[in-house]
Amino acid sequence: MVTRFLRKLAVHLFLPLAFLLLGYLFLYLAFSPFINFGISAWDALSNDLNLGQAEEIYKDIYEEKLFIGYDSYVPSSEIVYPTEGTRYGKILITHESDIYDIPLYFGDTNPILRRGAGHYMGSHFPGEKSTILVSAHNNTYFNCLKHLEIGDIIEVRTNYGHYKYEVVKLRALDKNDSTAFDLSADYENLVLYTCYPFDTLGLTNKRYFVNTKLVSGPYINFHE
Amino acid sequence: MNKKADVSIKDSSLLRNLLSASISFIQCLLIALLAACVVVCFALTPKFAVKNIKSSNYGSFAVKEMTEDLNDLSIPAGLPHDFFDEKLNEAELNEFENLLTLKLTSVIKGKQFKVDVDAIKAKFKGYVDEYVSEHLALADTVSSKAVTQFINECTTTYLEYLNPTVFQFVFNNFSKMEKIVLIAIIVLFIIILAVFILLFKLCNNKDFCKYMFLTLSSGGLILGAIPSYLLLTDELSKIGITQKSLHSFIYSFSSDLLTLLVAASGILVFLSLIFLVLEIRGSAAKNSAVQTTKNT
Repeated sequence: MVTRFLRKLAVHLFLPLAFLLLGYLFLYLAFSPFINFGISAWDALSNDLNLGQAEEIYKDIYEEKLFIGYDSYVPSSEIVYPTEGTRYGKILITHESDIYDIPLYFGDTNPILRRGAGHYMGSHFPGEKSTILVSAHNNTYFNCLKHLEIGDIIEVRTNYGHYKYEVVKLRALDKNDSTAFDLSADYENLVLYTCYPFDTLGLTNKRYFVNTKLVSGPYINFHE
Repeated sequence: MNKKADVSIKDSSLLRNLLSASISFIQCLLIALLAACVVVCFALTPKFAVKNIKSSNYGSFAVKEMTEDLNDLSIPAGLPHDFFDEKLNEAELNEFENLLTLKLTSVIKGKQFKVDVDAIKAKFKGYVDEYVSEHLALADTVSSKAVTQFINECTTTYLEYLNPTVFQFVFNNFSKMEKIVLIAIIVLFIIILAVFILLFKLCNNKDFCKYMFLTLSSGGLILGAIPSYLLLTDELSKIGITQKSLHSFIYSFSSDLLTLLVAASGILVFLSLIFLVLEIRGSAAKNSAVQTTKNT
């Protein structure tokens, strides 16, 4: 009687569950390429970064590591590299008695440029001994570029160190002019650019480029 | 001699049970696939998509995003950062929303819908002229070329929101996908019917009910387990598309699709319960027949 009951229980309860597990296993084996594609697509979609959240996460680190001595080096292992939309520093431009404090974000999409200056993701970070390309709108954050003169100092404060750059060239060029900067340069240079003319009504075909050279700041040591 | 006969009967019964269980397993996978195909086929109908466009407030979200994008264009153009917040009043936004719904509906149904581009350009030109006339100091710095470029950029953004590429890609392939799913349904239906006949011939009535219960309940579980999990844990809300309109539409569409899958799985489980009752009734009838034979 007990055996019969157990058999019935097995057939009516455990077998459907066993079929469920076996079924999923079978479907996974049969359609694994599609399922894996679906899972990776899901991961990619569900990990999209929230701009506001990223700023908050990074803010603590930014405050903590603000003061690191000049002309030293930073081990790359100690640097928390930003992700797109993260504020990882600020640019300080001084003109006479005015100080322009511009938040610096990683990435240069429209929502980022509404919040501050955007670091082009294909360029390098300060301290990497190459070109750092930063842009912002001419009517807001980079309107102050019009006040810059050759020899002025631009300060960039990141979450891993302070950098000072000296303005060496000021030019208004066509937006497609390839001579404006060199992303493969093997020397540290910061390039700031914005639409030109300043205060103009309408989108323009010209860009105002500020080329600078490094004065001081820690370099990033990739061997540590 | 009798022992040998008993062993051979037991062997053949075990073999038959194993064979029937294997058929049941294959059948439950086929039934789950068939039910999933039917649900997907229903979800691919224009009505279902249009219903979700409306229920997810796609239009109003798209309007907000478009206004933000237009504002992004206004900053480098030297206009206030909230220029379009003031210009695009409620009536105009409603007009855009209606236009968008009409456009999407026609795209889904595979029809052409022409938008009057000149009217849109004239509208943006009106905004700029109004602003310049209010700020006469700007009049000297305004270049007509730059204004034309600004109007063109604004019109392009407006049209981009009226022609969402994701929708166009998906809906243009709707008819192809529908055909494939319909063929799959027919093929699966024929196979399932053939396997049912095989199972029916292999078993007696009581066993047939037992295996049908097993097939349908397992099929229902396979179909409904993952969608139920996703719905209960609200995993879909984790979809990280920053564009709110698309996020809202995909969330609504996927939730409805998963609910339909769970409903289909519920139907399968309900049918399996009918077979369970039939099986129990068959067992009871058999027991009473045995009892009657013993008594006589």
